[in-house]
Amino acid sequence: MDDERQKGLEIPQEDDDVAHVDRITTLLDHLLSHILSFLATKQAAITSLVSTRWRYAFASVPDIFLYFEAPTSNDDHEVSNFADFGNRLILVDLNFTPNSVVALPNRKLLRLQGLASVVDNSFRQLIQGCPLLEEIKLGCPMVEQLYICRLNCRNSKGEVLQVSVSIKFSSRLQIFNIWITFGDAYAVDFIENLKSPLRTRIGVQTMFKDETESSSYRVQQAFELINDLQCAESLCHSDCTMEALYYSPDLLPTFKILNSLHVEIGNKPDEPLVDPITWWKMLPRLLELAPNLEVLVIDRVFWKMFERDRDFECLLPVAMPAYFIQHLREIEIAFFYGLDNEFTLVEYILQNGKSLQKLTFGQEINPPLDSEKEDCNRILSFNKCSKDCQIVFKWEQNYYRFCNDILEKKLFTGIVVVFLQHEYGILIAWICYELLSKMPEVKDNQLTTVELTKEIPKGSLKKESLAVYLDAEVEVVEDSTVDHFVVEERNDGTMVALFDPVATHNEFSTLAEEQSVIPVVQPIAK
Amino acid sequence: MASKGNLTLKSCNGKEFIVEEKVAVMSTTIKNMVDVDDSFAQGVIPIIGVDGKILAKLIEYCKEHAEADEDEEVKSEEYLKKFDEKFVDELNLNDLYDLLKASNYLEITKLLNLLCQKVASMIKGKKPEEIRRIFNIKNDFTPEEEEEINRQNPWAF
Repeated sequence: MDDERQKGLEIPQEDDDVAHVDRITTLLDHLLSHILSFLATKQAAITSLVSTRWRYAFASVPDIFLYFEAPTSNDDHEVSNFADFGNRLILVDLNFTPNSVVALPNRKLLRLQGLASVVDNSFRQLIQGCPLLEEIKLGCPMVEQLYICRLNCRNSKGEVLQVSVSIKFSSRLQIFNIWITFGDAYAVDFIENLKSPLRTRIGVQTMFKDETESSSYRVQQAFELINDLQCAESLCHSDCTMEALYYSPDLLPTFKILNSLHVEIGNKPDEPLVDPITWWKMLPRLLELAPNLEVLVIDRVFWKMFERDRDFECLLPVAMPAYFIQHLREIEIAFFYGLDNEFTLVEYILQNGKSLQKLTFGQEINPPLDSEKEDCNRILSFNKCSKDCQIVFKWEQNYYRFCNDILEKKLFTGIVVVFLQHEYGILIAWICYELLSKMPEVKDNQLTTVELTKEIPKGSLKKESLAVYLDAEVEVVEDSTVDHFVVEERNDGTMVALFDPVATHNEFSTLAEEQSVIPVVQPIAK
Repeated sequence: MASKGNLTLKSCNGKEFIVEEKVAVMSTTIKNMVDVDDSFAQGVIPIIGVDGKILAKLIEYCKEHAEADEDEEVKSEEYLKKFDEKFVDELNLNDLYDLLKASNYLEITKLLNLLCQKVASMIKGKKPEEIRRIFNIKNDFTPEEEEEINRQNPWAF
């Protein structure tokens, strides 16, 4: 026995039987990860340098615990290294599975602390790749923006996961964007410490398929969650929430600092969850609970359900009392169908919105050919109670045609042009501006602001992609000597767009990362 | 043939051990065998892939813990902790691996945890080259790969 003890584990060289055989590498995967699970994740990560067998082993442990201790000095570098590490851990499996499915099959508890960002897609993939996941804890001490959209926890087989999510916020968090879907077998979600963030964007989506006990339990859960959100400055109600609110309206608190409210009607305008008249009658209740509301976003409100336009006209003063519209600074109608009811609403808003500074129209759905321009002009012809009110059209899906119109000088008048969510929207806007500024006859048109596209594709801009969008009107030439992008007129009168693909792309990526909407085109003086 | 309340375990190299049932069923695998099939409870239970030396070790461990589970007064938590420490300290690397595999196969959860924890403690605080030396692991990374990993995880290293 004493002999054996001398063959200490720390000095295996002294044991001839053991010295030259690597047996740990032959252990089963789950044993290796079991061993590593006894180490802090940081310590376990060091083993990734031991050999190829060990490289990803640490990422497969059942529990991942990432904790960042407040650095003694204000070492931002250290913080960003940590955040990188955390983000990489999520993506580590992404890197070596070809089909981009995150597979962390052993993980039951996921504690992610100090992530720089949790982005919609990677998070969803992560959840789908964790069939055993029971709990997610997110602690975000240094995060200012957190986006967890559509937290629809299903594994790769489509089974709903019983996942509970708890999220700890810090005072640094300014934007929090979460979509929580309460599905059939969905577990309780709770959010801790939600008193600190000032700008909180949250969508609570609940699914009420029946009026059984469990669905009423879920209603209650949803309202407990909403009650926790009293500090929200901005809030989004889904159509299902609206339905739930209709049945139990007294459960809602007053949102004293709520500034922006988004109300939805759902993705299927033809099969609404809520009866349209009911929906509209709910609206004033929500408005009353938000005494300081300035921004109202109405999603897809209109569908062909009001038998006569007259019915809708009568409903409007009840649904959106004039005394309330007076205080609103911004109104957005996210999806526009070009129906008569919609024009009735727009006219009503413009007539009553004394403080209105901006009225935005989102995407237009299935417009009849070439009707956008007519619709624009019809809206612009309404009397405005607030003379300073900007009217913004974000009809991005039609902007190829729109661009052509600009290039052919068939410009819309008196509107603000906004390109959003298109790869090269900003660039085309820039080109338009450059073209316009060089064409004296169109200078009088009020092209005032162009907003930035939010989705920038990976890699640098390609000449070919540009050419597609610009048609043959402008020749596009790559030229690394120019400052980002220039449009010039050649001697023969044709236009040429010169751009430095790398610099231009970098510039736009930076702007997009800042999540800001930046007017690139300066107002043209009348 | 084991008397009532006892089971006979047979190692892969033919050694037989007669143990109390409560000791043997510390192993979930054995417990399931006995529960499902009565003939095991009377006959000999073959423990595949585990030799006599390792099986003796397993039984030594299970005996202490089974007795402790039965009567906390006799074997206090502190006593067990000391026993566990001594138990793993006396193992050489080969026995450690064999016991790991055996306790995994026999589903002796407590022991498996103890052994994994032991291996983890040998890794803790060590640099990669030290870990390789302790476990005789060959470094099969190319210098480029090593550099890449180093670059990827600056926070952890």
